[in-house]
Amino acid sequence: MDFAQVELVLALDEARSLSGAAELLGTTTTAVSQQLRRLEREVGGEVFVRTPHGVVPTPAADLLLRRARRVATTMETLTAGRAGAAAELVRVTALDSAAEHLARAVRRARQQAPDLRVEIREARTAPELLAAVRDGRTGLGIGYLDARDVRWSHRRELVLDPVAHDECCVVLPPACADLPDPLPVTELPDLDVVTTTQDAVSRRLVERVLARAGVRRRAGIATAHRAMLVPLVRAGAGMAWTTLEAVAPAAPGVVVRRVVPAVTLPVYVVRPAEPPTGGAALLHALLTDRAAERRAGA
Amino acid sequence: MHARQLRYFLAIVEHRGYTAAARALHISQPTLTVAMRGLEEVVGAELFRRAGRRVVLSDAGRRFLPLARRLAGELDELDDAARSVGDPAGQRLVLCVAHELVESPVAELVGAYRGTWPDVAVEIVEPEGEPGTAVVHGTADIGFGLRPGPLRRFGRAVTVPVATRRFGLAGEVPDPVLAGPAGSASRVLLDRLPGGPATPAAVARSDRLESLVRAGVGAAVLPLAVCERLGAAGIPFTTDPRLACSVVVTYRAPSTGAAAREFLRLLRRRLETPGGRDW
Repeated sequence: MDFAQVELVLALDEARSLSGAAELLGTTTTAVSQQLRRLEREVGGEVFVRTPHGVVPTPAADLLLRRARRVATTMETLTAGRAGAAAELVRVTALDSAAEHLARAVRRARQQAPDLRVEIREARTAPELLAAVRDGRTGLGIGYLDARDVRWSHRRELVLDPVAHDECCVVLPPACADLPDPLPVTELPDLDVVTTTQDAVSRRLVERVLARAGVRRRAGIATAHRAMLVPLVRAGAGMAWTTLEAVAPAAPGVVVRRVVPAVTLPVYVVRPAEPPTGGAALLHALLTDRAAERRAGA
Repeated sequence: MHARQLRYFLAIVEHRGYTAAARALHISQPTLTVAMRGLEEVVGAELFRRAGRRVVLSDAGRRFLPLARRLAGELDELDDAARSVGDPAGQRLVLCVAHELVESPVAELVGAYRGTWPDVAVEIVEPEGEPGTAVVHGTADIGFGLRPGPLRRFGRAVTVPVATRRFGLAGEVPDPVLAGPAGSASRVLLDRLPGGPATPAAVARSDRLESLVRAGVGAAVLPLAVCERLGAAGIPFTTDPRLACSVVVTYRAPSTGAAAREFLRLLRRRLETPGGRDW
């Protein structure tokens, strides 16, 4: 296949119609239709099903599309290096929750490969994250994932490697300054909980620990932005769960407490079954190599 | 940029020069030079420089090399994936089949097909309405239907009559008459019998009619093979030249998948055998 054909199949997959793909490619529907037919003759099978509502990739074309996306990403890297320096592009999709781990790994990857460019995209949910990696839209994914997500994933298509376990903490209003650290969950003040709408894994794990201890707390405000948790607590909206990774121990205007029993959240990096190459491989190694992490911290 | 330019670039590096690379690639040196100029335009820098009589990689060329190798590797893997699209092995074949055709001939065809392509996962789905519509909407690869009436066009898919299915009326005729749902073969053919449109005493899914007739509930228009089976069990049946309709096959032409293409090839062979169009 040639690069023009890579662009053709990716445009068709994105637009899901001949006319939409023609628009993306700046050509005509007839030309797209002819090129698709030529490609299908060459590969000897159907790549897209033409339906009255547009085109749909065939199951047989699944691997072709994933590999075409990988070629396109590398191509982008090459053409981005027009000035002479071939800056490599790595796409990473992250759940909001893993931002700190990713930031550290990216910083160290850039130290080792100064030309590396990293594009970070946000996923709202774990299934969305896993789908982005599976479809090749992103090279790596990172976030809090639990056994439920791992089972959901197509085991043969995705590889999950542990990155770290983040310890949960609770963010409380200033009036709670006298509470001990760590704080037994049974002594949590009777406040509504500010939650994030996105991070289902941490919510499930926290609820499990609280339920086991017989503690019930009402969910109050839910926000889509994790950065709002501390300001909301400071404003008197209640208390919030977050991780020590995410909140500075001396966040001004709030009280941060570890809890007993401790709640830890597993962070995983997800990659396609085909091992990553280049910058994605470097980033993956840095994320999963905790010894290196400690060295960097020292 | 073209995949060809990338391979030429790697060949020059491997063979340490334009002359040897051109020879290895079976192309002329000017062709190679033009291709490299085009690639340098895309990359935005000269990839080679002269060092005395030799040609060596420039700084930009050295930076470009690892990515070029990687891209060439990824293109090779893409070509592998592209070839797998045309290979039925490991693929899925979805057939949407009218009830009256599942037992025969589709079951026999699938059996023969699996003999040749044991790796293809064959799935037979029930039609909602015409089997052809499932093909049009991409939920099935091939549709097998009965078309008592005239052919209708189905979008981009092609529907062709391939064979004739003969039916008989099984059961004692003064008995109440049973039929499939409106539009089904057993219903439409029933209306062709002398006496004009009949009002069925009971309506059931087409594949349930045989057991109803066998249980003595009434008479129904059924495929001849089913009538003969019932005849062996002592239930009388009559035939009539009007009791016949076309078997139609719907498929996506000319771009259908490899698994479906092989199935159609098998079907075509079967149709060409003597009596192969009499279902």
